[in-house]
Amino acid sequence: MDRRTLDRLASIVGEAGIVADRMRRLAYESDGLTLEREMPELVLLPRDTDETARCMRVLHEAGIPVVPRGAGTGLSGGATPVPGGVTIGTARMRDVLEVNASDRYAIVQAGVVNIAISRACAKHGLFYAPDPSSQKACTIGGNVAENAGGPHCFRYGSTTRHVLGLVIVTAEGEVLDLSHPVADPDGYDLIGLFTGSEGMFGLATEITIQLTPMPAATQTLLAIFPSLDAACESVTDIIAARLEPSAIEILDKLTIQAVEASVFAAGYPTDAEAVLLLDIEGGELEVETTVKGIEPILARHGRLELRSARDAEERERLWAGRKGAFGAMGRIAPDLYVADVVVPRTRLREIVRLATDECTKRGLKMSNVFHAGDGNLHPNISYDRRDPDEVERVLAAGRAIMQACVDVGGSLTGEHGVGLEKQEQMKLLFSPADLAAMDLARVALDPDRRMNPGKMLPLRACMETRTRPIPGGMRAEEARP
Amino acid sequence: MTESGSALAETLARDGIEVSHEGAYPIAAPASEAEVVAIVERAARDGLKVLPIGLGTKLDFCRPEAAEGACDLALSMRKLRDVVAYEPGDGTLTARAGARMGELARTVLAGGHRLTPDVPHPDEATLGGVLGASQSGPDRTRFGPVRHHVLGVRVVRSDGTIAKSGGRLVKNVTGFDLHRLYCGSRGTLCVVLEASLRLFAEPEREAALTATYPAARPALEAAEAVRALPIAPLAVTLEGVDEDFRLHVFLAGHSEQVRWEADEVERVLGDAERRDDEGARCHRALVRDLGRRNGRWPAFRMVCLPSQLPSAIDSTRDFAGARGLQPRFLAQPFAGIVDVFLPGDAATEPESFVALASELRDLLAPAEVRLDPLAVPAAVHRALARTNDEGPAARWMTRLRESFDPAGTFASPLFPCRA
Ligand SMILES: Cc1cc2nc3c(=O)[nH]c(=O)nc-3n(C[C@H](O)[C@H](O)[C@H](O)COP(=O)(O)OP(=O)(O)OC[C@H]3O[C@@H](n4cnc5c(N)ncnc54)[C@H](O)[C@@H]3O)c2cc1C
Repeated sequence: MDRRTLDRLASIVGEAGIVADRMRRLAYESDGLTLEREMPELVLLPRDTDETARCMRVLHEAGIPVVPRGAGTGLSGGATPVPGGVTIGTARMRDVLEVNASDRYAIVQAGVVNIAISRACAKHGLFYAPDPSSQKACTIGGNVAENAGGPHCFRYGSTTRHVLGLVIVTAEGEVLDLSHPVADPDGYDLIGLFTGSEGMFGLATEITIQLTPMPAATQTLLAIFPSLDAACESVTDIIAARLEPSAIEILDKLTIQAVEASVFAAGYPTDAEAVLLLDIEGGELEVETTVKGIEPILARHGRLELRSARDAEERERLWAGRKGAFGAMGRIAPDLYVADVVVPRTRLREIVRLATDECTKRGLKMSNVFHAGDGNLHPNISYDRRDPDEVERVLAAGRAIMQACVDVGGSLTGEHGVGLEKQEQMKLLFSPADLAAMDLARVALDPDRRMNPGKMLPLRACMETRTRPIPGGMRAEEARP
Repeated sequence: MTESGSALAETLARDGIEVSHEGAYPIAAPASEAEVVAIVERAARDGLKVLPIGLGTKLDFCRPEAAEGACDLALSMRKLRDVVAYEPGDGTLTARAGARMGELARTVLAGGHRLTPDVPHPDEATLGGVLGASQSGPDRTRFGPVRHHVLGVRVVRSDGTIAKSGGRLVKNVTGFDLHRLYCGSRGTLCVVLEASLRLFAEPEREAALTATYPAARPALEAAEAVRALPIAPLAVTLEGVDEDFRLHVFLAGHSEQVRWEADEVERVLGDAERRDDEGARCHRALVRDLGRRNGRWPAFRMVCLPSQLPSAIDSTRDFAGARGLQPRFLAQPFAGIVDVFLPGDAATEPESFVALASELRDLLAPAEVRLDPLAVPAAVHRALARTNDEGPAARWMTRLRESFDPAGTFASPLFPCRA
């Protein structure tokens, strides 16, 4: 980057807002998908919308690609830097700007950590419903960009259902203020389109989110199963019976053992093959009736034991185990590949089995902890990234699992996004015409394709070309014809 | 009717595509996806404008016939009406765009499911039309807008290619959510061929409570008291005119819970008429159908924060009253949406109507109440649209429209924001 551009950027964000030295930039080399790494040319940490817009205008003039970044917990490489690109982080945009309890919304800066929102509005009896397991670290901006899910999204829906407004800084550095929360958009639903766009349409600096009243009653159940199959089949039957708990999660034996050996120990029985963790929320009588509907299904599938959390503390412990599961997996191997696929909920058992087989036959250690109620599987493969052969086998297993999901009418990702990881697999699910339509939206909003280039859309399928050369070279795959 | 439009209609008819000539432009009703593609391709080639429609019940929303030369041909999806897949085990439904909402609701009811949105006159509303207009029904109180429940779509683009977005799964973030963009795009970006929706459980029991008030404000205060209860009503609707307002609260769910909730609501509302089960269902349909009165949609929709609703209604009532008009209101208080029906003769004089609409919009704007025109003359649409013409949001919309439809094949000239 030339000196003049650098100086202009520095004068906008000040010393605290610029990360230029190599050692500090190392921290931004990857997100949670550590298999992909790239050194950003520069990292900018603007304080607000105005600083962001001014930086974006400078970068626009200089033709430099931009990668938005929240907390970097993404698991698909969405926040992986691009060669010669600048990463713009939201780490200094951490203010809750407004909580409006009567109209049930909050306006927060993009760098606010997910859980901080619920904390900020708890005194009003309200909470922010989407609860990714990473909620103590991930930002609301990252959640919007990925359309993040979480255990309780079974009842409440993913992020997109809860975003009422946005302030977006466009690739050209314009500010699009859609922050006023109203029921329906004035024209096209730009907010819905932006949500889940993986940082490719612009950078969100402020988010208006819907707040949800805390449920009158909650019951947390832990059902212990003698087999993973039985746990999966129970879920299929709960869905078929149209019962509507708020969260339905499955943890398998390896996961349980890792959790129980970690600081997240929740009291799950370590000899169980699988546990089913359920939250049932709503009015007291509604909860009671739903539990009555669920119990016989669990019994029919041979649950060994059914525990019900006695108080809020026990409930929290049970959930802390679930939400800490990925972290706990560090005990099994140094690295974890978190697959994220979706299947129709009638096919849960079949695909969980298949994923296990794909890993077993490649000599890989796989564990399962997933949002079963939504059909959103997370086969987690533990590995050591220093072993190139093992890395190859992990990726091959990941591809086989994705293919199997697509074959039964499933999908590549339920919440982690496509990013770099699943870019090539997009062609399994979408035709060139489907991808071309997505590219139409992209070029409309970022004609130079400078926002998070080289992500999500497979490069050859949509014939991505750059209108300007990227200073500092391209990713190897981007250079392909 | 444009000359080129009737020439196209003739060619299509020769090719065996059904074409009727009832209104201001010919209406082609293709019987297959291939015919849809053929119509779009042909129109694109000849530089003609096509308006995708269902049964045409919501054409008021964009009134193309009033904008000279804005539409050469309407493309009605009414014949493509089959259910593609109802998956009771997965709680999803995929149907073609011409399927009637009422028929779809009955299909999934057989498997114990409920479809949202519960739109007015569901047997006259097609799935494609509902999505295109992003229409909701009173059940929006519980389920939110329809765009939240569209899982995926297949569409024909302006160049005749078929493209899909999303899928049939209840959770899926693969690719951009173009289906959300298409929802509410009023046929300006593509023709929707089929769509998949998430379904909900058919409730065990329903209840309805209705209380009467001499004005909107006390009714809205009662609604606020209901909102403070630890319950999630299926629908809360306020309707009325002058000094005669009614608040309807609809409850649905497990039997015991609904019974308890109905007692709670009754306690809060005081003197309320209570209906159960079949009575409640019938009443719900009745109130739902008020969304279109005597074949007419409301003139305006006001969109605002729920807390702004009382003043929005009062201001509108006073403003109209001073002009000798008595507007009728139909509101979804929890969502901050109020539909305004004007007496039939208010719409006769376009010029004074434009003045009235513009003044009303200016009156409401400081409180951030947005006034959207629905069933009004095109001149009113244009007058209200102009202010949105500037700014980055309008630019993004324009660019999207130009990107998806570079030749301007899809007609709906008054949407999203240009006259
Ligand atoms: C232990 C663990 C558990 C997890 N559990 C879940 C889970 O249950 N559900 C789930 O959905 N995900 C989960 N994730 C994945 C991850 O936390 C989510 O994808 C999260 O939304 C990412 O947020 P972030 O702030 O870390 O974003 P980042 O990783 O920094 O960025 C993610 C993407 O968003 C873009 N982006 C970030 N901020 C902005 C912005 N302001 N404007 C525009 N684009 C932006 C980036 O460019 C990138 O493409 C988990 C991850 C971990 C490590």
